[in-house]
Amino acid sequence: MAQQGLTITKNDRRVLQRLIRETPAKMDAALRGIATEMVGDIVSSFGTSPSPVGGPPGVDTGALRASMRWTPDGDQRIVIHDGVDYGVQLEFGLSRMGARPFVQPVFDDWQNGKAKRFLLEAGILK
Amino acid sequence: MTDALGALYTGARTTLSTSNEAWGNAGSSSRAYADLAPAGATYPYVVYQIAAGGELNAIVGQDAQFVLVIKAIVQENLASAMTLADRIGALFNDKDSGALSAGAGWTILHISQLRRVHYVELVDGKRLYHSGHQFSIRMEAT
Repeated sequence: MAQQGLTITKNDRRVLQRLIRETPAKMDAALRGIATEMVGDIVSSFGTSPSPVGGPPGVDTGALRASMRWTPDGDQRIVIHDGVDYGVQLEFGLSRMGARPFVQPVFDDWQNGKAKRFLLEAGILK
Repeated sequence: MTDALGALYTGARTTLSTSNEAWGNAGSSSRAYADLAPAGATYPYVVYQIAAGGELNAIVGQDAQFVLVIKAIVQENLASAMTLADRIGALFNDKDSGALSAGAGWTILHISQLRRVHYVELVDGKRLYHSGHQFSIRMEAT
């Protein structure tokens, strides 16, 4: 859910692009911090099994939850991913199993408020 | 006024079943299902499901933004899966205000195609291709 006044604006984007050019190390640290927080949000969203369709998955073996991580992927780019082969099936569902999205909701939250709050609290945006 | 997600699902169902498609003829025989297809559904079919979203709080009135996944499920035919994913994109991508009807009390302002969705599962020894897209959808109460 979006948080009023915390959407990244065009002006914010200009500031961030300038900071990426001028202080790449600081922005890289912020990016890693955001990725760490997002992975934490994904991990903490897991519920108990069996989970209802439409919500995040419940923990059965814990393999998926334990496999969540982020990996640097080039300049100012980080990929958040799992380490099992069935995460995509939970995220999007199977023919006989409804989806249990657990990644997109967290990205949605961060696009609609959390990222800007993080950058404000880190003093990167003012 | 209906619930925003209910209105979105109505709009998705209407759009997917307006004309004859590979997933069934127009109208009630269209095999477009919300969230999960019924057991024994004939292939190919289409499933639409919410991935994220809710109230947007960008205006004083009610507004909403959702990420909707729309995908075709096709048995043993990768090329057809790709074709149907392309068709889904054509039906929904960049449909601006009023282009697609939502349920009562809501209007769909904009639809943007996001990530490609494509993966395969094995059921009874046969490959089922899930192929489609994520869409970001902005709505406002009318």
